[in-house]
Amino acid sequence: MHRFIKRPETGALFSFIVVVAVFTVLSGGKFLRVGNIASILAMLAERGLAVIGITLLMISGEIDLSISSVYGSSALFFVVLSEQLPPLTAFLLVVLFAAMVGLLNGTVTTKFEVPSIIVTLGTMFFLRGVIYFTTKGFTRSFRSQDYFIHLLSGRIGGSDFRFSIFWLIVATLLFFTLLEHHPYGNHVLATGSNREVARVMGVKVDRVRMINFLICSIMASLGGMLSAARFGTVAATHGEGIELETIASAVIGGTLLSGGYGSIQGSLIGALLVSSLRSGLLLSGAPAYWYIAFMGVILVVAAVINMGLVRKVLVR
Amino acid sequence: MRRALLLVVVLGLTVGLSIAAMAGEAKYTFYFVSHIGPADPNMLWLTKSIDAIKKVLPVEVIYSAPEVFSIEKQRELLEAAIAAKPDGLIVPITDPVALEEPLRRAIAQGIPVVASNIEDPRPEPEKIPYLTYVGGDEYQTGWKMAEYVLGYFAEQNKQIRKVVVGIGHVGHVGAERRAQGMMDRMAQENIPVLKVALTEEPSKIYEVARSTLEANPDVDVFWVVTMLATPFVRKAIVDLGLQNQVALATVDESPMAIEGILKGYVIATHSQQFYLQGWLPVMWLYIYKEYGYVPPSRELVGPVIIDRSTAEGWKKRLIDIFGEEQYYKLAGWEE
Repeated sequence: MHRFIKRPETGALFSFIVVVAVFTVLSGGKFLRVGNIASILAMLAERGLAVIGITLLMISGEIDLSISSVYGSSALFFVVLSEQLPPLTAFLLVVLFAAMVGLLNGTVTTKFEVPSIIVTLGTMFFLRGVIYFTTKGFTRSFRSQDYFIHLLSGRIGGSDFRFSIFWLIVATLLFFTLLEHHPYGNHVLATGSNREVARVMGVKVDRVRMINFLICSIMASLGGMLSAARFGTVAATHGEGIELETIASAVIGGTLLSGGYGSIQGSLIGALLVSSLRSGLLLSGAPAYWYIAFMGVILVVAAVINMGLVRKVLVR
Repeated sequence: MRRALLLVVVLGLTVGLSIAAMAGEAKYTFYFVSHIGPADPNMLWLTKSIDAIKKVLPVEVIYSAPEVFSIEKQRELLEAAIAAKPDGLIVPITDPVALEEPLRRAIAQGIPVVASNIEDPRPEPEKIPYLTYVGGDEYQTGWKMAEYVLGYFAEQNKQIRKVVVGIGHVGHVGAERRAQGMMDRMAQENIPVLKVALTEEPSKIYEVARSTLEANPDVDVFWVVTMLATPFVRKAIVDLGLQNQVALATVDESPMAIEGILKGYVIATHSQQFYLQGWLPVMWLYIYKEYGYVPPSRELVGPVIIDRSTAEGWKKRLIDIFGEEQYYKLAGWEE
């Protein structure tokens, strides 16, 4: 029991259970309908991939605000490139593009010691500008329905559930193992806890930060492409504002903004909580113009509960 | 080396003088400070029509707008435009209170102002004293769309139980006026109207639309008053299997709206003839500055309801503006 409470995700899990119980009662059971759960999971899969990336980066003491624009531009480029190329090739090219963005963010941050919040803010604006220029504000859609696109986020059989949740599970297992059962995870935690001490201990901190920028960008890109595959349509506003939602998810899930502490599973529970709020509030009959304010209040309460637990753990 | 340097200098001077000469051709410089930025497809209508009138009249028109809807940023751009001491201003009055002070200041400095796209909805003594308003009547847009939808259902001998109005740009006075027009007309028929904040990010739009429809199974009409949100609301309707129950209506005369009507996904849209909202304000400012003639206080260019019976004609007009390839690229429907 004591070990369970010490886990970074405990507070988020507790908040999530409370939120689900409240929404289930208030919505008269609509919240737990299969269609609603499938829709929340589809959104979770897309956002969740970005959350995994940002969690890893935040644990190593950095931040990436450009993920919203990487998410949006990847969705757009995937659609645009798929008009000319096989979708699998387009997919790989977009991953390459995201990797280059991650490397750029990482290089400027580590080599020039510019705070990552500034570097990635610049990248965020630049890429959003590229999206506006490319779309001219219009939406862009896939012309054909390829099997690969279906495999990314199509419906599984005739059900409401989508393949995207499978990709999220795969990524979760991979990065959970990496962070908790691989020496690289220790390097990430050490880099975020105290960079100088980590360096003395032999950890190549700049390389760790660089790799995490790369992973963060690629994961956001994958999330964006899953989203494009689900909707079949991309708008100029695709992904706008998700940088703060993903950071909030990670914090609610127990990841410290200062680095050195956090977990993949905690952040995903945080993401699940954030993804559930909108539909939960609307299904519960929250006034249509007020639900955004309610979301803010619930997020702060959830974060306070979790940070209280985190503080207790760190003091011990 | 010296020759190359000389060539660069000569070329630079030639280009510089050409630009200066071209700038010299413009007798007046007008600033169009809009809320319709690069994330909004309607910007293309305005910039295309401005480019066209610049070829006809000796004017320079500088178009500026925030990347995404933001009254605060629009005001900042307006302040910058006034500081440049232009010969005229064209401004959509997205928020009459927020824009009042700088606009009154500009008018007091002798800078004529034309309201385009969105007017000051307040009564005469409170209204910002601009020269004229060119655009649609946002309230009438809602009212006329309500009448169209009522007629559409009456033709099929069906009753509307509930209407949802989805707003993307919350706080946009034009969108709120449209919603009000719809609500007031529907109130006469005792039909409830639910207003929802769709926001602007696609997956959030989808989630809000889907949850709203699940929470309100008696919705028969979903009117999206922010065009960009339309395919994502349609997706939610289809995913819930409600395409035979919920009639979807949208706004503006974009390729997406027109193709949506032709494909049967959308029952109607409206036009406020955006092209004219770029052209006419520039023309009136020029006439006012050059000859002193004062335009009528309100020049309505909309609303015009577009449905299946008129969509083909609009498609031809759009192809004339955007070209065929661009039209289909921008039609934006997955299905």
